[in-house]
Amino acid sequence: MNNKILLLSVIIGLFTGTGATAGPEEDRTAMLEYYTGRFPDVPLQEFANGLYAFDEIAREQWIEMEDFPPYEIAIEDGQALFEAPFANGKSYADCFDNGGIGIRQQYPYFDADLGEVVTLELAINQCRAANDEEPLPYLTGDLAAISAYMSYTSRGNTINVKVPQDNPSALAAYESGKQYYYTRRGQLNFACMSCHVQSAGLMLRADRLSTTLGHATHWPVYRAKWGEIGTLHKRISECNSQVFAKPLEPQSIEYRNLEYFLTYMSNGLELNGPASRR
Amino acid sequence: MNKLSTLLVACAFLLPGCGQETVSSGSPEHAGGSSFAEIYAAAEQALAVAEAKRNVWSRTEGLLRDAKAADADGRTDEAIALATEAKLQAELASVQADTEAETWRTRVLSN
Amino acid sequence: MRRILIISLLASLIGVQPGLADDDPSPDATTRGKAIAFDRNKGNCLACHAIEGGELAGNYGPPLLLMKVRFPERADLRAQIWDAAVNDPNTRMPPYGRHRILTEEEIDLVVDFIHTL
Repeated sequence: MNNKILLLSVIIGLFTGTGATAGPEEDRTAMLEYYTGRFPDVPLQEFANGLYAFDEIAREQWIEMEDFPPYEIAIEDGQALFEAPFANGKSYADCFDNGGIGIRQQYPYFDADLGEVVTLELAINQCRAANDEEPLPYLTGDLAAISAYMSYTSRGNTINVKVPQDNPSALAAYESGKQYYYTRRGQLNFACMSCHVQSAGLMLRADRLSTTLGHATHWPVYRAKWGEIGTLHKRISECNSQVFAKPLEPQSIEYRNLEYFLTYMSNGLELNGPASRR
Repeated sequence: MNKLSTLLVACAFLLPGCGQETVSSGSPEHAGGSSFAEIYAAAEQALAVAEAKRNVWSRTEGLLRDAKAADADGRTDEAIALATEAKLQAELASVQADTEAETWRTRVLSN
Repeated sequence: MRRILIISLLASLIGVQPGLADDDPSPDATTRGKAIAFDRNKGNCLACHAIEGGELAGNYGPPLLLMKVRFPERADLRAQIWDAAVNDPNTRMPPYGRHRILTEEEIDLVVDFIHTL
């Protein structure tokens, strides 16, 4: 229902030209200019390192942590899981372009047949379903490990998420992610942007708030606070909880659309996952 | 929610003894005239509305669970206060979702 | 820092002497208010504001200093905590009263405490 209304408003906006609906590229440029204005000394690719781009003390600790990357085991586990054949003899490599190696930059994308955004994590479970395997939980564990391995093989590749201009449903999905990002929610009444645009670089208790530019480059993440590797949707759930909002289901339409928007905002940055965070 | 009922809720929360004038512990009827079952049903309804808007606050469901437990324990005043609080929070979450459906656009970064 | 200095100057000029007003809350109220303000599951004021006596404070919002200068009227401070969006629709301050994050009594205690800062 909501999607239909959204789609309609997008279409009306397109035809009348009265809607304030800027396109994805205008949105990305505006965000880029905002952050480069706020942090003029930070080189563009550094934003992929989150708060370590502009917090020198935290950065030193992080570089020390990276001496023995805490996500390394997840990459190894993920590779073993990735290469292990399914019961039917096929494997993940059969589901993905280029045998699944170095392809994370293709995700998320809008699947025109499905009519929905497909993230890499969703595609991993789609692959399992196509091979009669049970789906894996989305937040941590084996799926996060497989995702970590696939990210690792994609390091250095440039994010290039597309919102096809000839598909109004793709634009509607992007717009829905954008709306989620800018919508206040939870009893504490915060939008994503309240912290990550308005207060980026400031301290919330002992934690410095990161920029949305770079939010989608480095997943999954080994977070010291979690003591394990987790997916982007685990972090989004955590953000929801922090503002006293009940998290949505991981890989829900809303979260996937949000990931679509977030990743588009980081177009042009290089993938650098998996990563470690405090 | 009018001021009087807010006061009654606060009363039930803060001063366990203050409800004694109007209702004895364990009575199915509350001073406001609504039974726990009625208030609980109304809270569930309000929660369903917020859920449909995909905007439930994280403490609301716990309040409803606590309300049910308090009622089962015979702590009726407390149960009614908790269910009332859950209902109010669910309604506020719905208001938030409705307001935000318009105002989110005012925050969008643009050139 | 400069802001703090200016506020201090102003305070000395108009002769504000915190803690000497007649309508001061009881020490018990301010102690309870402080506990609520510092509790991560209640006010959690330190998440955003530096407060004397609090550790690991954020700087998301301004430090809470000389509150009687900034809010001569207790009611105005209470209103700000109850729903800061009334004064500024773009505020990031959670609406502690409007969204029932704290009870009315808890807000009164927090106001008692914050007003002593």
